[in-house]
Amino acid sequence: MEKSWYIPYKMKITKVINEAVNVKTFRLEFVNPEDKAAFSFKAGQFGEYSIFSEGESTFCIASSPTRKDYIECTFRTAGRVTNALARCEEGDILGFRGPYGNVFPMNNWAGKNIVFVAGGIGLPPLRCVIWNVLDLGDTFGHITIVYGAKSIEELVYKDELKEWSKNPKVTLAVTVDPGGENPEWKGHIGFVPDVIRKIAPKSENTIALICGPPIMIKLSLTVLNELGFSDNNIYSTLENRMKCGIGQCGHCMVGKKYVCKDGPVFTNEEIKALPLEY
Amino acid sequence: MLNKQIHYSNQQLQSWVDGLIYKGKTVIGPVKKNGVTCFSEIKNFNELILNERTVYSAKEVVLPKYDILFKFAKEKDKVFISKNENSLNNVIVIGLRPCDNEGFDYLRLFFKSDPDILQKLNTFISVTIACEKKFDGCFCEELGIDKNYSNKTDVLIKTSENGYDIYFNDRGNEILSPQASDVKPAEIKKPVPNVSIDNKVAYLKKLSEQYNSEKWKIVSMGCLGCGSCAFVCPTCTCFDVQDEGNTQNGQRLICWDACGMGLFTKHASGHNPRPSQVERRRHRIMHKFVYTQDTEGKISCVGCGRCIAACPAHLNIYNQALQILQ
Repeated sequence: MEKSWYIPYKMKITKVINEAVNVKTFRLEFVNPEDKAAFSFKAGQFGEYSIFSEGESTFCIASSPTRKDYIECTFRTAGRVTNALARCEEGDILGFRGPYGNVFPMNNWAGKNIVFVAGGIGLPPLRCVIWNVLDLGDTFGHITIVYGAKSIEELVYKDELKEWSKNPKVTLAVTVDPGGENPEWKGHIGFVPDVIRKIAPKSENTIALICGPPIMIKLSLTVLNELGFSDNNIYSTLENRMKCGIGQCGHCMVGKKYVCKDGPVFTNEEIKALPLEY
Repeated sequence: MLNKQIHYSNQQLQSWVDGLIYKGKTVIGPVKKNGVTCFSEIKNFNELILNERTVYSAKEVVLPKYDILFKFAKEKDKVFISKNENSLNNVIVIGLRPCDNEGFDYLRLFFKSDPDILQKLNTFISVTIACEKKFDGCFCEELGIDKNYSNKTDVLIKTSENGYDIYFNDRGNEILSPQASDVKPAEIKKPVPNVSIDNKVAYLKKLSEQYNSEKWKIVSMGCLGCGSCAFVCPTCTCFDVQDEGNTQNGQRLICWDACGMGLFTKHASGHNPRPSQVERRRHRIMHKFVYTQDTEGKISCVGCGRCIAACPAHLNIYNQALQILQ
């Protein structure tokens, strides 16, 4: 029997992390060893995660391809599938198909510094790249991470943020919106674009990656451009509604481009050429 | 290539179709179901409705309204998955129109890397009826399609004096299995290539220059977002993936969807990249006449007019495209 594109891998949940209000991370391991052996992916790709009888939902693979024993996904509960996923426990079996989509061209970034800009639930797609970069040691230059959320509670990967802050290769700036802090908060207070301007990463020999809510992206791009980042050195990952992941169902189309097939990774130069349908 | 021809009387045509069914072939053709003409399996010739354009195009032979991708069963901490097998082996689709064949031709391009669908598209035997007259709202000839001829079929039926002239290729020969003495080399007038179609296609591509035109608001004003146009269209491929079942067992389905519907693009966050009918109608018209020129090398409207007949608001996709370009 030929394997249909829609037949998912069976994955066992081996770890559940409560990241923030309504946000969870699942660690998933392949049930069948031969599936695990055949599977590989690259930073930037995504998949269709499913719960049998509820349906499929699209998230990026939030773990790094350098960690081969598992994949992780981080999601916020919003609809039928994510609410059902949130009720799952360790040991439950999920479906996963993927990896789909294009990748961050990391091979071209050797020796370059990388700036990551993320807001809210926009960190998971970049977290995959962050760990990939860090796991590859000296391949890349200095890493700057600017991450913001509405409040301290809404920051995801809190333990990993601590770990990154201690890494000498990393400059980490975590910020919360005014009013989202508490008396013990030692990070920045303010919006992501303002924090980028304040810490002003050098644009020379540097790539920027950005993911987050549309308004944050829009204002941050202005700041990055002011700092000298050209649009073809700024990468983002788009997340339109998707059903198939393989360029057929039509849901994710932006003009004639399919986010699932032509993306989800685009340079800002490419995004500017797209109609505003994302 | 339609290289042979034969003449059948009404009675002979009926006997041939009934004979195919008798021999165990699955014959699909235009029938009336709940008052609506669509393609469905027949058990005898008299069920066929051959003098109408079907409301639903023939695409549902290959892309049904819903199809089971696989079934699943859950047991303790195990999940069992079984793929649903279906093929169009031994299937004859009769009563296609030239526009349906053009639609299948587009689907072959669109699904070029999907072996399952491609196999279905290339397996069934197609029997086409040439259109003697235009149906309400048809504009296939505007798009360079000959309503009276198709070379993308295994068998072509044209009405003639006292019956039908039937043209067929080698595959068609197998199912017709005519008496050798009755067969003649095909004498069929192939349409003269319509040179003006290239200009038409290039003209329609200029819609991309009008992407920000205010006229989109006017053409989308009547659109109810009901999706009828997509459901009856021979080239609309958009679909949804849905699960049915309970915690023990169920199935994952693939089912028709429509870009005109508000939920089609809506994110879980509530953000909608195409927030109103203006953007949705524009996407539909651009997709048919512009985008697939780049992605598949041809426009994906075949001018069958089904969407115009089905639209509760009487929107005419072709006239609207021309209206934008004026």
